[in-house]
Amino acid sequence: MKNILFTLFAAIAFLFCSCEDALDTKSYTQANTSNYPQKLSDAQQLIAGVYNNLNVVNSNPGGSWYMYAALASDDVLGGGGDTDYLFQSEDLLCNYSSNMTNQFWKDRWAGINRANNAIATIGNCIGFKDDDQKNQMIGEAYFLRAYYYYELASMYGKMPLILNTVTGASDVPQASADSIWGSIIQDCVTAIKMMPSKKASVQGLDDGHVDKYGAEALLGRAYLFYTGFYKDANPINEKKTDVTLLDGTALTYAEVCTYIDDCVTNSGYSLAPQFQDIWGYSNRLSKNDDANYYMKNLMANVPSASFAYCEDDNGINPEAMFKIKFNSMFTWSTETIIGYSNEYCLFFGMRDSGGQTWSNLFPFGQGWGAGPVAKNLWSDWKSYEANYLGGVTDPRREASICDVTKEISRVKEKDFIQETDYFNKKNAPYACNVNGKRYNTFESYMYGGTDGTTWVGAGWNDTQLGNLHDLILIRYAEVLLMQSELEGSVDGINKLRTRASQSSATPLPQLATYSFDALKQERRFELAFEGVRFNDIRRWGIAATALDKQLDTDVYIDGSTNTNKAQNGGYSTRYNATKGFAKIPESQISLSKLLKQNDGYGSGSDYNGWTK
Amino acid sequence: MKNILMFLVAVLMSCHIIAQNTVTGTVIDGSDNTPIIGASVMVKGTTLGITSDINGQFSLKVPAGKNTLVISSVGYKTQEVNISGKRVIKVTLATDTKQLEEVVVVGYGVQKKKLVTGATLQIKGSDITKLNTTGALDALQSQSPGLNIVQSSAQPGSGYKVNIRGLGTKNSYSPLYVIDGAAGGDINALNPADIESIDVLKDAASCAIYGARAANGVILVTTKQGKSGKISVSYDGYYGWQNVYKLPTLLNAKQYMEVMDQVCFNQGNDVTYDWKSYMPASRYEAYMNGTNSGTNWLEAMRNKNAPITNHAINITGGNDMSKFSLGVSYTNQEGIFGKPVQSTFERTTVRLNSDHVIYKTNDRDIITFGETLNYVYKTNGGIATGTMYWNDVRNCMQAYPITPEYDDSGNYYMWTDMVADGLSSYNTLATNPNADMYYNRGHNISKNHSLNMTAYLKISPIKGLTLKSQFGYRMNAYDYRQYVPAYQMNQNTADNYTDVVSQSAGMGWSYTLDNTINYVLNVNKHNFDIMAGQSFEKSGMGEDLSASGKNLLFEGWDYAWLYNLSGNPSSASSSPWSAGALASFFGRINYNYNETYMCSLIMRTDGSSNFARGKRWGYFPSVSAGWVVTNESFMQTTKDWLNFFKLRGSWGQNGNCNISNFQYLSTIGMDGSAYYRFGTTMLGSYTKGSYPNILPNPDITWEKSEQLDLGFDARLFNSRLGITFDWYKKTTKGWLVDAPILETAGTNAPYINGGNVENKGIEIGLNWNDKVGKDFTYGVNLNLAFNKNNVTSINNANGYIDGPSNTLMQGTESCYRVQTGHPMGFFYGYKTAGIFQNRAEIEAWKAAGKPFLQSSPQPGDVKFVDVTGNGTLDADDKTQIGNPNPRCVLGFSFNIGYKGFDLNVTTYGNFGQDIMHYYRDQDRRCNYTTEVYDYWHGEGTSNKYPRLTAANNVNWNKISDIYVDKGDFLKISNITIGYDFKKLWKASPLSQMRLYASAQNLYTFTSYKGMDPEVGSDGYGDTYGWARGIDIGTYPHARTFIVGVNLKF
Repeated sequence: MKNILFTLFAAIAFLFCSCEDALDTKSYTQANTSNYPQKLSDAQQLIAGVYNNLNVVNSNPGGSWYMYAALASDDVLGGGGDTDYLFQSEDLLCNYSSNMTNQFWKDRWAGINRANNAIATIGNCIGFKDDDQKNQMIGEAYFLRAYYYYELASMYGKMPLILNTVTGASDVPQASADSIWGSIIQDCVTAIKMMPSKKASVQGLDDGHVDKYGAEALLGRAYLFYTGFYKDANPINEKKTDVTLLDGTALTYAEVCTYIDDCVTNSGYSLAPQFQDIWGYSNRLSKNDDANYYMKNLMANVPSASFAYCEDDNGINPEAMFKIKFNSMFTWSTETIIGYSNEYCLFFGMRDSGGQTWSNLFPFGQGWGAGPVAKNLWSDWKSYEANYLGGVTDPRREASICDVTKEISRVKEKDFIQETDYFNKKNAPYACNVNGKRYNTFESYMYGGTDGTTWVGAGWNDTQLGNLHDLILIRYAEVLLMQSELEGSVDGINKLRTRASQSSATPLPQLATYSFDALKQERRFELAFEGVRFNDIRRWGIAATALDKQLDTDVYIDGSTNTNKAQNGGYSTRYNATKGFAKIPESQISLSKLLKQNDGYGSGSDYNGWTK
Repeated sequence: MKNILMFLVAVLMSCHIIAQNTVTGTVIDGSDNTPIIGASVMVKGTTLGITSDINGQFSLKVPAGKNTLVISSVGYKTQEVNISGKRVIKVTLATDTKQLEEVVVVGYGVQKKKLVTGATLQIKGSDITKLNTTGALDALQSQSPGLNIVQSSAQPGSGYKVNIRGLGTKNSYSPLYVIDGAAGGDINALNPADIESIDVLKDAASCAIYGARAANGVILVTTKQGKSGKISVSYDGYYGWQNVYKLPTLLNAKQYMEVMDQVCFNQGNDVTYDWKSYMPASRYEAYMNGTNSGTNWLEAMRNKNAPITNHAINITGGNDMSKFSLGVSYTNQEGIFGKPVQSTFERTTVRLNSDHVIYKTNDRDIITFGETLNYVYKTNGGIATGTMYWNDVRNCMQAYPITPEYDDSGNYYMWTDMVADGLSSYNTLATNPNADMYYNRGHNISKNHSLNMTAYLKISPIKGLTLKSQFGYRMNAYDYRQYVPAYQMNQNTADNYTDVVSQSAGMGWSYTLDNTINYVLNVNKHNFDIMAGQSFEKSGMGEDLSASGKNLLFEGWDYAWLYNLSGNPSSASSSPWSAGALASFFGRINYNYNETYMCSLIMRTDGSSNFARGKRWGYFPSVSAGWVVTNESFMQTTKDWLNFFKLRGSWGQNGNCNISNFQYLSTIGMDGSAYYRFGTTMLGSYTKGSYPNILPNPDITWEKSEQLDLGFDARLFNSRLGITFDWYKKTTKGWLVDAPILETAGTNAPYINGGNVENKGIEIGLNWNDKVGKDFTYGVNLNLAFNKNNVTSINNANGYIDGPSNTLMQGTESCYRVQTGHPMGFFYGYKTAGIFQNRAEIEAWKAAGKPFLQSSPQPGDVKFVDVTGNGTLDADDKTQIGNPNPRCVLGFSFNIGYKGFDLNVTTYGNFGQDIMHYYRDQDRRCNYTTEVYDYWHGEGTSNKYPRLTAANNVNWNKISDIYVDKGDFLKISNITIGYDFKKLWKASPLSQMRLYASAQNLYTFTSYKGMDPEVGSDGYGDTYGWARGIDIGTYPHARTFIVGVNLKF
């Protein structure tokens, strides 16, 4: 008996001592900062994690900068169904609900946190092939941080400036615009200086990695907006504005020009042969389809051109300098994100709230109808052709905008606010017909075959998950136009007109002498719907006037003929009140003791549904 | 069995016998005249004795001069018999239910009920089984004051939300279940027939012995234990028919078309619907002239007379050396919704408990061991219930009555039919919801195996001292298989060309080791019961595996196995369970003086693996005391009417450590939410990514709950009236909460110790039991519990945490939150002041300077109230518009017995709580219930519901109190009438032959207009456990009629 007691007490004593060890647990699915990152593959994972934020934001594109920039611009309206207040609010520069764009705010900050972490820790890893490899990688992190801040700063104006993983945990006051933009531009400069002077593909990097030239392009974009919007720098007279970087050093106008010239000359990026080759409707599966009215007509008119979608069969677009890449990785489990497929396609796709059969929209797939094209864009474009192109039809107009009445047999939707007869072709989902079978996205057949058996992952033939083609965020064409604008040269503009002429029976005239006016038009039309127009009209100081041109244009409200009436005081009123900045999510204002709300979001800023 | 008995008898025969006078006799059960096996027959004043055999007979040699035998058996009143001059005696023992009642389980031991100083509650197994519910918790609802039990969905096999004395915390609010001494089991897995008793520890002092995990109270379940005595075999079985109690009335096809036209008109649209273009002329005619009322989708998915069956066999027996209890049961239940693929639930349980004495001396068992073993196999399949996006009941309420269920050839009405008829151009929601359910959710089964076992060894080396070591093991394994056939429902749906099969499986286990030492010491009238112990638990050792793929070589549910895929699975994944450990040391001293003055001291310390070193250990003390006033001499005068009166008071602290692990570490996530696709291969190729996935909180530690309890127990009028009363105040401090942080942090918020809540309330239990004349017995039970819940602090800047948006319907903001100064999960939105009846009222409102939320208000619009009074209506004007927590929970029952007849009526009620309900989305032209006719349609028609409009109208898409209704209800939850045919057929070999019929959920008294006022749902798939009362179309409780038998051999 005594022995039993003794054993028992000994056991208890032993347990007490070994408790702490017994209570230590280990994670089998996660590393932690004490043991990660250590080697090259860790660094590569960290970088992939930063890029991944592009997909994360794309999971909920509705409130993102790319969507907002499109809808708020003068080229498109809000659209969507009766309850899609989000789209309509973005068009109207209004707000609805307390946290309208909180998802985007949250997701982009996650991207910044990831970039900060990568910048801080990649240098500690070992096993790089050479310094170039390491510097390229860190440069990518700087580029992405700059890009993410570019979007946040464009959307919200002033935010906290968080450049490391430690500060982020606390309440940080909003930084001045000068600091924020000084930081964005400085990150671009740092990236440019660090990264090897070789295109990513030349370095042997897989498609999707950004390189030094991408950073130069972003630098140009950020410089133009910052100096135009904040310094009121008129590009004709005072374009030679220098800027002060966050660390106090100066970046001169001349240096900016040098970077852009470097990008134009040395980057290795080039224009796609035809303008139409950039957009998915020219894919090999649907371009020859009898029901593809536009392509059939085009090919008949310009028999000399041979159209081929740059991204056919995993192809790479030669002018895409920075893009979001997609995949079929999405699964219906908690770990993966819906944004692995191109959700902008779905959102911008032609609205089908139940009224359309497939053939009504072909070659386009169905979507939710964000951003119907405003009629003023169509008419402005036509007058540009008359006034700037000597009456020659710009083939880019019909290559970018679907004229519903002419191209397809769509019926008006009964649940659709601000429907117009014009649709954005660049960001649409594209369907295809093969052997009498209809595929909701051309990718479904191109990569998944007849029945999707070879399609790894989810989304095959799914209108919501089956769009996998790249979303191009910076195109070489834009860099050409930056060069023209910065340096007052006609080269960039003329290169684009020459390219456009490839798909036109009559060539577009070349521009003899530089004109700021012509540059503005060229930018608007070449880059329509690509997320740059809104910042352009803001930095050129023409936003209020341009936006009001959408007023009283023809629209359909729930299928009835109507006009685009002023809501909440009208576009210019709202622009003048907000300067185009969105409302900072109220939950964030109330959680912080320091964050201040943007101007223009007091009473009258809430959109409560369309008033006819 | 026979061999065992022979052996046992042989053992008994071998006892020492001193040859004197021999007395033989029979011991008989007074209630049914059956022999009692294993009754102890002792010669008074000696250690001589024997036990009765299988026929209840004994033969004992009694020394000369000894004339009294003491005959005892567990469960019977001990009797002394004078044997002077007798050789053969017959002893009839009366059953002693009171004696059994008086022992309650208190955690690591038992205690006499009259000596308990905390607030505990015992429910006997028989009180649970008599309600014939498939699970024990359902039966507890009406019998346990202080327990709030609701179901989020009444789909068969669904779980329950249980909280004791109000919600005390935000994330993990469930009590700790301890089954047969092993913590963490699943009470829903038990068949009620296997339960001996359930003890609920409500106050902190009682719970303190389970320190770390006891903040939400403790529920101790004891399964049926072996009894010495004759082998008893019982069979309980029933069969029932379940039906919907109440369905909302949906608009029929004609009404629907009229209402949709009215919506268009009210919106001022010039578009009207050309109904004839959406369907063949003949169908339109039939809808209009009433020969066809269209599809009532709720009726279409009903499973009428859904069967429910239950069979349970229990066998117990043994003697003073070995006892066993064996139970086998089978339960099968179909759901009332989801036809033709209705929800199903099937459960088989096997239980074997036994206790054995290895070594005993005459007066004591020195070494005993025993085990409990419970194996459960469950399968269930179901339809979608959860968020509004995953809810077949709601889908059916929203679907168009103009959509037929079947086409002319009897197949589901699908996309091709819609296109042919033109319905497709009305809306894609014309989708057939039953076809959707059939194809997408109709073929799935989840199987679950669980094994719970404990084994103990008990040694009592000296009198009063007991050492006990118990090992508990739990295993759980599941698998799930789903098949989605190829179909074409509408033009957007995925995977319509190929079928898909998904399978997943997982298995895991945990163990507990408890060692206790107990010493009972009685010195004069000072009685001590001292216990000390140690426990170690390791849990979450297991793994999951899942995969899915498409395109089966053989189509069909039977062939839906990954093996039959034509290619490889398109996705596959596996992960380990999250392992954790808990180490504990505890001690308890129970002291009483002459069973009049009692006190109890408990101390426990726990270390949990969920926290970092240095923050792990928590200490949980408690103290309680009681005073049996009626034992005092000065109370003698009241003794004739006040039989027992005990005052008690207790104070204690408990903990909660239930959070996910590694909150204290700065972890790096490498999961599928961080990949990026570089390169030129579109499908399947990607680079794995990583990211810091949490802001670490190295300081994270226990959540603490502190509770003060004062109460009394009394028995009056010859113990016919029993009263229990408790007042309590429970304060939970330092909630473990994932409070929102600034998004600029860029990663996930860690759990913090960040909130306090207070629950105050009283509980009253009254029961009256009496007998009139010889044959008539009756009893009445009333339980009342009042609770007030108030959040006193949330440790973040804004002082609140919101629920999710898009809960009540698509496009709405969050409708409930947790906020300082309000009850948990209160409804949050705009207050309204009725409806503008006419222009004049609008002008008057405007003249008074009151703001509008409508841009151009019209008669029939809602008067939203400017709560802040600052002249504008914005988010600041949102306020508390309802409280989903009942103020009072009532359980009332009575029973009557007369000559073999018995009648039992049980009712259950909740009072003072609100419900937020809405059954449709504002867009997509969803169908309405006939409540639509109560909407404002002219002056004086309604002052609550605004005019009928389409989606984009603030009247409907702002959360306001127009959606809030009073939720008070009283349910007649059970009426049972039975008769025991043993009374007619006395010679039957059976001791009981009861036949009964029962009605469950017979009638509900309520003013609530929705389907079922018992709404446990958060409207969001149970993601927000602290929220309830959101009725977006939940799976309602069935009304069930049952017939059954109880047989006992």
